[in-house]
Amino acid sequence: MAHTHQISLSAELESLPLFRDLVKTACQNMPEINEQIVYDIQLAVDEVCTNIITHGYEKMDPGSIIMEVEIEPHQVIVSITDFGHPFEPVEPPPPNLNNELDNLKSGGLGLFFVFMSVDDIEYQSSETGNITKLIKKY
Amino acid sequence: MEITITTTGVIDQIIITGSIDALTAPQLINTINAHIHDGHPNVIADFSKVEFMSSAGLRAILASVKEARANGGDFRLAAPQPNVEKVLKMSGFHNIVKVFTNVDDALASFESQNNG
Amino acid sequence: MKADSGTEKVLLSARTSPSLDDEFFALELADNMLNGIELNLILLNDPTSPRYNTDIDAQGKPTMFGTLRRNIDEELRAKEAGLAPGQVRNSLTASKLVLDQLDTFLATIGHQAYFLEPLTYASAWIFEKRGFAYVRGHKLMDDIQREFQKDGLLYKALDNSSPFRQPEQANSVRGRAWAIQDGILETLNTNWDKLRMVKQIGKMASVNTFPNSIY
Repeated sequence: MAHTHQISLSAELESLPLFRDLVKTACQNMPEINEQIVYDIQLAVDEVCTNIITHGYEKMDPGSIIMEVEIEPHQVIVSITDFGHPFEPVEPPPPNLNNELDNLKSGGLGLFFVFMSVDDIEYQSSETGNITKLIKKY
Repeated sequence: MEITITTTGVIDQIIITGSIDALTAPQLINTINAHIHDGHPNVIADFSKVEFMSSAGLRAILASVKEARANGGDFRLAAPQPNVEKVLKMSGFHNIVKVFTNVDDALASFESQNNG
Repeated sequence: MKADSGTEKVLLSARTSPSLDDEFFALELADNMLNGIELNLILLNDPTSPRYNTDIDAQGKPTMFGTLRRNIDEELRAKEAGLAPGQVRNSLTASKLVLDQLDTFLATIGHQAYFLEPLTYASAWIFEKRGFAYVRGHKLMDDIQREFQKDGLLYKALDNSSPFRQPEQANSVRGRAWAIQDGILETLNTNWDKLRMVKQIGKMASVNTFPNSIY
């Protein structure tokens, strides 16, 4: 049976470790989900939340990020909801590190990691919030 | 994240413990840059205790590498854990920074360079 | 029920006598510009409990729940009686029942979420318990929690300078709410404004900005 873990925190960088921790907690006691998979999900979660915090809520009094981790047979689904500016993740080209330093705020490198780390990404935006879904098979 | 700096001769080791993410990366950049500007452009970053690194961490290293080289030295990375190493490889980072499997090899790389 | 033509609002209310003073239930919903639903007002008063005239000043002018002007004497009596800012009577403690019904009703007419602006710190805390998250202001709630800890800026501002700034107020939701009503957020160069909360229908967000709190 699927089970769900949830946490709702302020969209601040201070919340990043707690979002990553929830991934670890949710995957505990699941011997099929190895450390590499947990790390990949943590990386994707970290990058998506960082983008929401630094771009999505830019110049706003930050609201919440609601994160839900669902463990299903053979896949983990992480849903991240925010109420900032919509920001659809589009797969960027592989990074050119020589240019990266000049584009510190582009977020392109982070998005590249998200796409490399999970199997599928779904995004939905409406007046009731933006939802980013990360799907990782195991 | 915690940062400890130890000095062996002309080579400094920066031991980083914990996670390098968007929250902690600015502190890492500031510490390393201050150290380089303090007259220590040769730096080895001991990554054996880094449990997590995001793109913000990669940018911090990239900035450190450029700063060290601009000051006539180099920034080399030692002993990354497998997950962190995967992130380095994924981004093509190996082509820019020298990565060693342990600190001794990184030290030796500087020494052979100085001797030769 | 009141829904004037030409407006996007509907007000449901109930009272035990024709007097507005005896209103024990009021709920106002509105369509917002983005085709969403706003909960403008929710009022649940125990009509048998004593009334405190915090809603009108000494000259009888409305205070708009103490946001526009204040009736300090009545506020003090209300505070002593254990009420939160913005309340004129004890609560009916039925918010869970009412909000559950509202969730169900809005789901049946096809909405996915609704919004509100919490009047006070105490009402924001209650809406957290009822599954709301923040569109704006989550960080402010975290800042308030942090600065009410010992040695925090708000804690230090509980300096006995007014009856609404007593040190023990840091420990409770109502105590903090009265201090905020008294303008203590000036200490952080901000005010109780621009907070906006959202309830996703059928979901509980589990926000908790004041862990292990007492009301």
